[in-house]
Amino acid sequence: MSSEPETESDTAIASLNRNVSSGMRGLVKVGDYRRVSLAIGLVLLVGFSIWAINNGGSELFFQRVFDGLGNGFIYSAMAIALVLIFKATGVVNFAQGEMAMMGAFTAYAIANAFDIPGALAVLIAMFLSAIVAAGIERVLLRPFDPSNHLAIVIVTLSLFLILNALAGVIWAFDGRAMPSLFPGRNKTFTLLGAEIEYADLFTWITVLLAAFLVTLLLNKTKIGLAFRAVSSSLESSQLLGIRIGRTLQFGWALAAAMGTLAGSLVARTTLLEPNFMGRVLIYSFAAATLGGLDSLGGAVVAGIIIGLVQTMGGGYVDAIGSELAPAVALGVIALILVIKPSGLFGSKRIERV
Amino acid sequence: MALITLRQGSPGHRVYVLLAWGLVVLGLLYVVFAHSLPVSLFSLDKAFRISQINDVVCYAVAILGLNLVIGYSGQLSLGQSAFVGLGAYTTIILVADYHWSYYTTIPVSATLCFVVGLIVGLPALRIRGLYLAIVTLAVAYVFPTLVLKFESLTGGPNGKKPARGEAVMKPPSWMPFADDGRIAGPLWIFCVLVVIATALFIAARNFIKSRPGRALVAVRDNQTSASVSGVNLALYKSMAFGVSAAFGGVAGSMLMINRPFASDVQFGLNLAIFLVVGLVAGGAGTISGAIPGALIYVFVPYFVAQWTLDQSGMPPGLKQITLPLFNWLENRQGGDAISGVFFGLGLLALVFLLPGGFVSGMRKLRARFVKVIPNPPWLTQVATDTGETVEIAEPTDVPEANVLSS
Repeated sequence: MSSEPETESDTAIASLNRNVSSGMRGLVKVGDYRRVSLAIGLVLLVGFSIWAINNGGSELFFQRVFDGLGNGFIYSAMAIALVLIFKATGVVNFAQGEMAMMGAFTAYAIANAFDIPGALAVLIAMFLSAIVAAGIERVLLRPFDPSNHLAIVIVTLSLFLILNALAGVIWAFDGRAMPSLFPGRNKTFTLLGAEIEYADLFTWITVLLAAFLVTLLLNKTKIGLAFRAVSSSLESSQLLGIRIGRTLQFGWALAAAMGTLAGSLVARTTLLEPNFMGRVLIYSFAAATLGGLDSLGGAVVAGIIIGLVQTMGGGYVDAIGSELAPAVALGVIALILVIKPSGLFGSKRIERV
Repeated sequence: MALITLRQGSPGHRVYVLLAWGLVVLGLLYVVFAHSLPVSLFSLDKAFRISQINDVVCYAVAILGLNLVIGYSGQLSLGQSAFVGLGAYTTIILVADYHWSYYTTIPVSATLCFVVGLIVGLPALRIRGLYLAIVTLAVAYVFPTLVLKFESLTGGPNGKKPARGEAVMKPPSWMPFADDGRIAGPLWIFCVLVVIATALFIAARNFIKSRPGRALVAVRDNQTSASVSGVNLALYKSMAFGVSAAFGGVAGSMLMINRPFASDVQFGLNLAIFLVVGLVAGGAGTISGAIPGALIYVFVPYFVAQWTLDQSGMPPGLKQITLPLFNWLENRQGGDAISGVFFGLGLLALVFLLPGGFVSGMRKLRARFVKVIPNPPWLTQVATDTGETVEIAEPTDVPEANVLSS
């Protein structure tokens, strides 16, 4: 490498480089001024709300807000499952959606076979899927070095293919209706002029409760402590005598149970068939990433943000419509990540050479 | 111990390299002439099989491009399907609506994809690892929705193709197979695609062996130390994305030469995932890995699905074992889906048995028979920046400690 720029093209590249890096420094600064950027975000939000209420009336606005929240809570639940596995293995589990799908199908099968209420069937299915996921971790994931990310990604991709096809073989591809999980089917109440189903309300409460329980489990129990230690530093926790394998297994089991819950909640609003989690999974990936892949609280908040951006953007801006809503939602995420590369709430990692 | 030991550059080694390349050329010639031989293995006398092989050539280029980003610069990009799709739509729109020839559309789609790839690569300057993977996965997810949105341009859900009888690739009359009926078209396309792909493979190899390529590998191995050594991270990372996207775009154009029809479902998430699978199965970080990767991507799902429907084409041993399973599946509604299970299991087996992909497995196998000793650096001449060649002097008295620390 020559120290001095010698030719014209070298100087051009050097000046380009200076411009790019000063631009990047600017972006970093925006990320650092948390209060300022929060204030800007709030002003934009309030502005949009006023415009939207003016434009379509307050009832439509709140209806869309609640619809967005409904979607958002589902994304949050799936994102929590993704974050758990990311903390455990350092990879994104591409099979998470299919694991949730299998869990929802299991709940469906149990409810039908034993004629028990949907909610109880979901609880049993959560337990079963946790056991199966622990088995999967033991057989398919543990043989690999945790730092071998590409291999683990391929394992989860093949799990994705296998589970999707297996569900097709067992339950075929025609949609089935999930038994209702909550009492008060199709009953609604009115809030701020918007109609909300009681079942939707129960969904929100369930997700929040589940998120709270997971946090409690991670923060107040011994295995939770071990899990946090392993996800913070694998090598140090190994030196401390934590059994890495079992702790990671716990993470997979917890994530699978959470995924089954999310899958059953999604299945309530749509038909049950092997591909029904695909769309949800993309948004939950986005939510997990936006929140910072290693932050549970971030996953919940980001899931709600994405649900809202998707419904509001698609609903109010005609040019976007329902077709471009995913493009806009994902574009917003890419933009936020450029400003804050480790997500809104993710921990920054500093590397040593 | 290896059977044969060869020194790099010795006459024996040259013969060995020539033999290896000769085999490749022979294989390509066999594909072209198989239909006129009395026995053609692998149903190479059928037009559809030649079309499949053409697909392999196209996807090999796409995987090669993906390899530049994932395998060489170490950034997990899952958005290659979008660039393949962009290249394909560029070609098909120019051919169908503006009556260009296929060849002239290739530079256009390469340039367009290069520019779009640079833009998509911009977040990569800030975002790393799995965060980047998700952002690029989003690009792959969004592409089909954009195709549907701009229906007037892309044909939307009905897909896009040139008018009937227009823009058909016909072999020139001097080709030996020009009069061989239905197979002549696909074979001529095969020849064209192989020429393009060969040029691209050589280009990729030279790219990797040149200064940008070495910079990329340095970024992959340790970004911080690469930057400390004077590698311009922003420049080379976005360049990797741009070049990779350009390869993807050309692959898309090539796909359209083979089958002139583009639709949104062709270039969705499935393609994005399978290209990565093909890359890893073939061997990440190797140029030649793109070919077994593409073969796996095209033929493994095809044969698995084929055997699920009809077990007669299956190898004999496998048939006896799996017959009860297929008999059971026969009457089930979603029974066809079993091919997906087999493909997934095959993939798992591959990750467990050949963790470095097909190429590294073959290299290990080869190392049992042939060992090539590389030349020490002082026997090679090095070209300096000013164009003179300089011989590196053979070290005479190197202290032990220096050798270890270098």
